[in-house]
Amino acid sequence: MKIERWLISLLIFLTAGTMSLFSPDTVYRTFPLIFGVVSILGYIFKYMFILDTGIFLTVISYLFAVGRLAPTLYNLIMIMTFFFFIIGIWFYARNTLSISGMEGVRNDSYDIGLAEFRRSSLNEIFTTLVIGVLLSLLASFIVLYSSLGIALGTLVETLLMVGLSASVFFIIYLVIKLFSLENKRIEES
Amino acid sequence: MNISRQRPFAYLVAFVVAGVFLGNIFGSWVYFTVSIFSLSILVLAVRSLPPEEFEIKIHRGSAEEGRDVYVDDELEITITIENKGKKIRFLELHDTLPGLLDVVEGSSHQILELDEGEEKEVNYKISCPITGNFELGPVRLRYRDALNFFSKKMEIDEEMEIRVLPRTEDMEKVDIDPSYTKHWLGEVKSKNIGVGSEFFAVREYQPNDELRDINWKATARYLDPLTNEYEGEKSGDVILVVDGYEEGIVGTMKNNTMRASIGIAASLAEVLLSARHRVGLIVSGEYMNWVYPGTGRNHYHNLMSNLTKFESGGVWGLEGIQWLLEEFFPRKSMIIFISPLTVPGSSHTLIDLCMKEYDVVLISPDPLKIEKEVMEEDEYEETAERLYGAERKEILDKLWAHGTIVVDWDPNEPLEPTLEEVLRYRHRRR
Repeated sequence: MKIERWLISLLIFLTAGTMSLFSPDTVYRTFPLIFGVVSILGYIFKYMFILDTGIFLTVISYLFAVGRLAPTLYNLIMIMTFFFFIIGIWFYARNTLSISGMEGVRNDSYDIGLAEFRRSSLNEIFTTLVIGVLLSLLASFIVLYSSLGIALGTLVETLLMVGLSASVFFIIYLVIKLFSLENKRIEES
Repeated sequence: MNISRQRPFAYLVAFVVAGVFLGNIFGSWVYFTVSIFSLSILVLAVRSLPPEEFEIKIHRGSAEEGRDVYVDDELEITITIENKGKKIRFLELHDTLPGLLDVVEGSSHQILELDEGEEKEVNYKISCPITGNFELGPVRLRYRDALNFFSKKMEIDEEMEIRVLPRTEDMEKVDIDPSYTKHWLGEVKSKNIGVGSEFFAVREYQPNDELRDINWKATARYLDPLTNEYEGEKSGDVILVVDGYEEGIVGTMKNNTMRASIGIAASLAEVLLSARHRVGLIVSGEYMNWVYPGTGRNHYHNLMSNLTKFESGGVWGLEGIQWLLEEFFPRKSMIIFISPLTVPGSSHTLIDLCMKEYDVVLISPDPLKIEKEVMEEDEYEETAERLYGAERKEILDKLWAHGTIVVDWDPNEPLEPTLEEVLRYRHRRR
């Protein structure tokens, strides 16, 4: 368990450090690393709020650091990689913290359910990130295409427009669903 | 029982909003892309939404349900959970247990994945280290997804009561007989002739004598009908008084003078009832529990049930015991007072009772022995032990002098040998 904790801390540090390293030489450059260290402290001392806020600020400060980059495919993939990597580590770190919280009330090694939960969680995080990357690539490609002004054939343009409109409507529908969760009482029998 | 959105969800929404705002303010594409990335994760989070309705049926049971549970017994608890609704991916189940019960096998805290219509069993074993009435439950359920975006808490009132009775010590050899017997039959040999099994003498036959009592050998020898006479065997009233004042309890929650006293009271009640005495009970704490003398198996259960009730608070003092005994209990009863004598004034109460012709036996679990058992070696003060020991000896000697039969008992050892020895001495002294 301790190895896992050190590994996750190291991963946060390395990711935040690489984010700083790959940022242009501005005053904001060191901020991702500083906030990365803050989130590591939150993780080590099991303060979920500090971990979450540290990660949030790491991402925001990274955006400030790379805000002036030119819109190229290389830059897009670099930003996307860092974003999804740090978010993935964040989700996993939170997961390990909540599992360690559950272990606090247990007093034996009867952990079949817990191991199952750990495995399923990891699987779920991984799937979400992979599909997230694919969705983001699609959406970002459209953004990039429109900003770079690359000339494409009429058919491709039409297909992209249809795809974009469908995606936007679908996303709007899903977001509305997310925010309008009905709080229903549980049927107890 | 609402679905609550967790911090990661809020922060991702913040990324989306901040990306759009900052992107417009700074005119940078980078912020927009982060909005897109965050939005894509939020869209995927829809998969982790909890079911709109949880239809969960829970039942807690135990193979030992309805049976008597004794101290240090292990009890297997089975929680059956049935999901009648849609599939639940991550369900955390936590059965609320009173702090004094220990989980010895399995766990009352589990993570489950339940398919539609699936039924699962959660088993765990608890140990009951002290006497008392305990309530298990409610069962707490918490749904949460792997990304920690949503959680939903539920509490199901599936409660179960356990009554943990004191474990009794086998005291077959102990022969406690009250000095004053009553009219009803028992096992104590009275000084009068009556119904019994011990032969006393032969006398002339009188009308209404039982045919089976005729001594046929003597009748044949003297050619005159003669009848056997027996020593009458009677029983008496015994009142068990357990000192349960909270201020006087020495030891830890699991090993203390009160626990030792309750165990001994239960053992004595069993022995006395099997000897056909009427047994009464007073559990003297700040609240007074008392049971009028009676006999039989049901009465034994009544005594046990009162022994497990111990409540702190209230206003009853030691004089309350004396008042109860004088007002409600039969006169000249035998009183077995079980007390570590840690409450000031206990010895005065006992002396007063001796003066009023009660037959008083004191069984005193030595608090020093318990303290020594539960304390670390370096914490233990030998000078304090010697001082307290001398003080205790003086009180016990004073009680002996006033006619109380004193049993100074080491609670780490069985009571039977010590009690037997003291009772033998009492017989000889009579």
